[in-house]
Amino acid sequence: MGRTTRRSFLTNGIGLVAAAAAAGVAGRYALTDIEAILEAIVRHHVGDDALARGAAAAFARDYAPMTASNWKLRSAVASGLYLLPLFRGALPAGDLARIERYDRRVVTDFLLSSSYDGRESGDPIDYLALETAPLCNPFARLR
Amino acid sequence: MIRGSYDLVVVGSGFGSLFYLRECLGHLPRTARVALLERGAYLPHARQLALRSNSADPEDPDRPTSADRYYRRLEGEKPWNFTIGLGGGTLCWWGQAPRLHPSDFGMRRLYGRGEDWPISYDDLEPHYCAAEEIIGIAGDSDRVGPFRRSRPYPLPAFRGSGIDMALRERDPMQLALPAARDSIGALRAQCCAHGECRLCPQDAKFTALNGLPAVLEDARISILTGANVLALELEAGHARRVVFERRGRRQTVSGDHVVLGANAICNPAILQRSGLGHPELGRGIAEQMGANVEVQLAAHSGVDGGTAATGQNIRLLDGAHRRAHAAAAYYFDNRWKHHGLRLERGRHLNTLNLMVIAEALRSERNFVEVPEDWDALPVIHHATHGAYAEDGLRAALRAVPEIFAGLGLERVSEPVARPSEAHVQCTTPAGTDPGRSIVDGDLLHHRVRNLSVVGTSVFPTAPAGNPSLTAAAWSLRAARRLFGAG
Ligand SMILES: Cc1cc2nc3c(=O)[nH]c(=O)nc-3n(C[C@H](O)[C@H](O)[C@H](O)COP(=O)(O)OP(=O)(O)OC[C@H]3O[C@@H](n4cnc5c(N)ncnc54)[C@H](O)[C@@H]3O)c2cc1C
Repeated sequence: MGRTTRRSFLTNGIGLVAAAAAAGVAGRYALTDIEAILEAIVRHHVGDDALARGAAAAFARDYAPMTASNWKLRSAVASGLYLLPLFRGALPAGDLARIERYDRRVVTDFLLSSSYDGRESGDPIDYLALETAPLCNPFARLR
Repeated sequence: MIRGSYDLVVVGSGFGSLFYLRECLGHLPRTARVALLERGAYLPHARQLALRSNSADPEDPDRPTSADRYYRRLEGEKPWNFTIGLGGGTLCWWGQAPRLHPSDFGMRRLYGRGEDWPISYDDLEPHYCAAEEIIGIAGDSDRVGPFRRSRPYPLPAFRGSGIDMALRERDPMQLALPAARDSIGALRAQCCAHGECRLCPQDAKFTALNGLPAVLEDARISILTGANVLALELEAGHARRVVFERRGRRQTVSGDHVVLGANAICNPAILQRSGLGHPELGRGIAEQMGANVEVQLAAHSGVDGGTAATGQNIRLLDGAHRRAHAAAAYYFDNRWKHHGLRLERGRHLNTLNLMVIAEALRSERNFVEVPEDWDALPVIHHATHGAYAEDGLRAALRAVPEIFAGLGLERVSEPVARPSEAHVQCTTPAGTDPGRSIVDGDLLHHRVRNLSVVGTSVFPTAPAGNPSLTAAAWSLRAARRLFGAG
């Protein structure tokens, strides 16, 4: 019961924010948590071996304020705590789908902001600059 | 200033009207006078980008507007999408520009469903070529499937995404999807596959503003924007005057011939207010029914093609199944917007958004209601797409895995319904029987012979393919025939 409550607390996305507020934690502290989660998402899915050193952290630093100002995103980040395999196995399908959707969004935005252009090169993927809606499709082969 | 009498009065400036007008200009004398009455504002491309909108209030051009300001719908019913502005749907369209399937023109004859069109694919073929040339369409001239053609496309096809190309190698039903976007930068800027074509950042997509300036700037034409056409005044069975309202003032303009191209919601409203009621007028409003699914493959990218959507699979576009349920088109999107890139390493790009689109037939349950009060908005009643379309969409969704068999299919997601296909059609249908249709195959009103009705409102059915190229080609043909040119 306690576990279910905690799970829905977190997946509702209120957990991180509300807990931080209740504890009187400064906004900056909460932001740091979000950064850590974003970095973890990128490293988990893109893979440390594929990433240039510090790329995920640099992306997370730029990306976090964007998430912090958006309640919906922020709540999704909170539920991203379930990245931990320990929790994941026990999650209902709906929550898993929600986490996957959010993870995909973060990973997509990271890849669009990085040197990854879809072609196999073997070079580590470096973070360039935040670019969530590029003017042109970076993966397109125009001719 | 619109004053006096005109040889031609054109209502609206979308696909139907401007292609009709373009053809007329080639036949009219240099001294001819043409009035073009457009309800919306003139919004240059740069302003559209700045406003993030294709249309603005004509009286306050800094205020973007959207379609829902121009009609009402019943609670819970689907929305409709169109653009009110100089250029009409040419501004907001995505530029998917396939021809219709030859069988689309003979549904009753071939399958006992819907209605036959009063023209055939072959009647339209030379005009398809002409419209493709004017628009500047990129397509594959070598592999045309059932869409037989007498001339090559003006621009080469875009490169398909990896998934699309892999299928083209193994499946004769997989074709390039023709697009009104410039594949090589020959006519406009080259398309960069941005994928939000409603507001093309490069202006690579055909619009009336970048593709028909010679029409809009022709010295014989007077254009009046902000002119909301309400009705036609008839005399002795002829359309004599067009009644419109501008800045709160009601005015008329007279003309020898009137071309009504005010979209499939406004066309029937204007005819109804003109006393041209008919059992089929405004009835049967239709558009295709669509859903998106994500397809994940072990190999091949679904987002590395050269434009917003690169391929189409036509396996269900025609066949005996049309006796039982709708035909369907599969469009290969080249975008990650709906689902995001994939999470798995090495497979980030192996995702395809597949658009599945089923044709629809007219149903008397769906109609445009025109209130007596001319100031009131038309009300759209659209309870359902009908069992024919619904069953067709379901069958097409079930068949998705078959398309990718042998290509390392990993997952097909649950379908997500598309709220609107943005293709309003079928409210002033063309046909040979004046008792069951509003206009004939030359788009002339059965009763009022100096009145042409153009655009997608004249479609007798709503085939799976996008309609605008066909509306343009049909206008070119009808206008030629108005001048006895064939
Ligand atoms: C977002 C979007 C994407 C689309 N993408 C595609 C696509 O990829 N391929 C495709 O084939 N089709 C596409 N379409 C559909 C396409 O826009 C329509 O099929 C096409 O515009 C219909 O042509 P029409 O001439 O019937 O009407 P329109 O092009 O809508 O023209 C009607 C004109 O009449 C004017 N008007 C309306 N009422 C009045 C009045 N009372 N008085 C005076 N003027 C009036 C309007 O302002 C407009 O200029 C898309 C539509 C939308 C909204």
